[in-house]
Amino acid sequence: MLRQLQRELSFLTQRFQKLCPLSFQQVAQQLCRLQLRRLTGGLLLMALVSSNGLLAQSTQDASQLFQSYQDRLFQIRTIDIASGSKASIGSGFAIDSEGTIATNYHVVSKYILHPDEYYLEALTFDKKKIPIDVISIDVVNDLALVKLDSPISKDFLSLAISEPQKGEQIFSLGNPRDLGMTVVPGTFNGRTAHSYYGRILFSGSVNPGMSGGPVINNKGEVIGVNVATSGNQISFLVPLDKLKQLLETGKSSEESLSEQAYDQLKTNQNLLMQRLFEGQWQPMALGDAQVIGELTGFISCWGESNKRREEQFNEVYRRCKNSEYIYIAPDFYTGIIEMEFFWYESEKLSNWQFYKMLNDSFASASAGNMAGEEHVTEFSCDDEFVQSDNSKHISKTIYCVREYKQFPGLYDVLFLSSTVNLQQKALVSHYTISGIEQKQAEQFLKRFMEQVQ
Amino acid sequence: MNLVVEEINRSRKVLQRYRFKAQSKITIGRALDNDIILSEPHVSPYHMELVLNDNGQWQIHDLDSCNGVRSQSRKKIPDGSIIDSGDTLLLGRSYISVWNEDHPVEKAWPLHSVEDVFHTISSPWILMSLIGVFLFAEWQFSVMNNYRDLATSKLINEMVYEMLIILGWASVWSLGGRVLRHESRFNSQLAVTLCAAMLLQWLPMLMKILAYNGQYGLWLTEIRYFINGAIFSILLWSNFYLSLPQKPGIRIIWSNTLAWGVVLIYLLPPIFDAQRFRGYPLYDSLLLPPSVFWAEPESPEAFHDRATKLYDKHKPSEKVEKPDSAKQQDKTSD
Repeated sequence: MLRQLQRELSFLTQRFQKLCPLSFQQVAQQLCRLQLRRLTGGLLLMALVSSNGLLAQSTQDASQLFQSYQDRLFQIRTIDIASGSKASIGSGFAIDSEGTIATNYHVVSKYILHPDEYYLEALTFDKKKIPIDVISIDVVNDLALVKLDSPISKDFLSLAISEPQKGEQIFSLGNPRDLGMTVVPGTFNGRTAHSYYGRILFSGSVNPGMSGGPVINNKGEVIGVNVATSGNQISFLVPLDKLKQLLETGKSSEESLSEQAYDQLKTNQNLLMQRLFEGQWQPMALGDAQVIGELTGFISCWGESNKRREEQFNEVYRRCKNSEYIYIAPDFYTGIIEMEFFWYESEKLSNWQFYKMLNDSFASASAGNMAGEEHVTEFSCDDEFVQSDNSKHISKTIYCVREYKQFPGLYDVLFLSSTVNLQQKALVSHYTISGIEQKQAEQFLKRFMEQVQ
Repeated sequence: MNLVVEEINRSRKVLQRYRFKAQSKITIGRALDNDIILSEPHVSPYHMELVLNDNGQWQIHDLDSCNGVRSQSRKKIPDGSIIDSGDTLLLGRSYISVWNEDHPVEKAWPLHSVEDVFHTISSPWILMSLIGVFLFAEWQFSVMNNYRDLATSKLINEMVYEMLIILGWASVWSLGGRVLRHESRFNSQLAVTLCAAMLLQWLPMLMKILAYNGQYGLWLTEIRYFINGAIFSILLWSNFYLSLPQKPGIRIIWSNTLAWGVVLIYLLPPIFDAQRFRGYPLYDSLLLPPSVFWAEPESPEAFHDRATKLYDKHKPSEKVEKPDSAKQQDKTSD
């Protein structure tokens, strides 16, 4: 993202916030971009007030569910070995009689990445602590299957056959902020728009700590898993079919966890890029230039232009980004595709001033995803002046690549280009894609350069 | 042997010179009937005399002076010692040097060809035009680099500040010259400083334009340091030439050591910074107007090939082996 353009957009931008397992370290919380909410009174009370008006009825349903299913719900804790205390918590639920528990990948990611510093345990409703081990993961859909060392009961939550109707009341179960097992009623609203991975939109107040908890219909069948919230009673659930898929393949997987993650990332980017290439890539005008309009359904675009008098130049701006990302570690996200176009025009500035202004905005491009030294190499970049045969525009074009250390063959790529031979006008184009293979990246580069004039 | 006696100060500067022809006795003291009259109060009225002996050598004869006759290193010289050409004697707090008339002297130092240049540029008219050009260029560069509203007061502030630095630098060196060589040469120092300032204005812009078209913009910082070092060493050399009495070789060594030493101090921290992990991409982001752009562009296909090579950069060093367990991959974690 070009740093200079983090201004307040007047329209809503979706910000996904992972229901980060509640951690006692403020840093981890900030990394997960949590909005801290004050909990006033009991959570149940809040849930009741926010539900859809059938106050008396929800109270009854909610407490019934609570009693029926509390023995199938667990708090999943990541314990820091050195201090002997919990570093983060989440929720999970039993899905078979052999002690298999379903939860989110990000709830157990700390342990997976640093198994020598942490261990996992499940806390039952009657405060028994049982160690658990991770069997399989799905990083793309943020799911994980863990197994109790010694199963305690044969009861488990069964999965629904089909999804509920839009508007049907469903219940999210979990342990928000380590305050105790809670039930949050809400409404099933179908899939979110612009979602590629497929997430269910839930109008209920899911809070941090409830990650990995089940969402059940009024028959007590699981129809989704808590995964993220955007605040204000907009929460997201992993749909049923993703969980079913993981159960089929994951239960008896021979591969190690990182091999599983590697395969999932590779397959996912393959399919994603294929979808992207099949899209229309409508051309669109921006100033005097021709850029790319809508790429495909799951990438949403926003625009802005400044016509303010105090600046001496005009700027028209368009930005497209897919709204989801893949979480691998607290400081490592991938799966982000972002595209930006800037059209600059000025009558008042001299050419030297205009290009100085351009210089300043050109210098601040960076990767769209967060990644640290242990995950990626440094960027290698190259630049050149490029002119295509059928155009008289010359552009200074820059391309940068960095590789994933643990997943060789996957790269983050960055493209930046500015016209250089126009008088007092310029088009700057930019895209970053994270977690992509070389073949797809090259294909995207070719197509992008052809379409942007 | 005819003798030349010099009254000198502590830093060997000659205050007064006395020549003696066909004299075999020279009296030295504070009294007014001596051959050499010293006025320093620690000198006795009849302090000593230099006597020519039968062998044609000059000897010291202390006339019962209060503080005695000492050598330059403050050791007492026994009465009757023979003095050689070039010896220095300490009488009280006064120093005198004694020389034979035929003592060899150094050959003349050739004047540097630069002397004419300095003379030309120190004329007041040229100085005024240099100042004018400098300030005008400063104004133009500020306007070029500023695309938001340029505050006139800020610009004037900067110009005044810069002129003060230039004048200050020239003054310091002139003062040094006045003290050491009794000539300040302020005009020349000012002219030289102004020229260096103008080079500092223009050369970086020229290098930017060249780097932009040659695509070595990432080297601009190093090039800039090099230019600064070169300009600074030439400036120092000129300052030394105008103000300090130095042998040419020494001058070159000193001016370069100081100039490049300062540059090194600025260069070292960034070198250490480069060891840290860079999470952002480092690329050449220089953009300049079309009027100074002349490079030949390449085709998109050629650019695609370039991009492909970037992937290869990561391949050769690491063997692509699949990580086979979660535990192994964490060895490099913090």
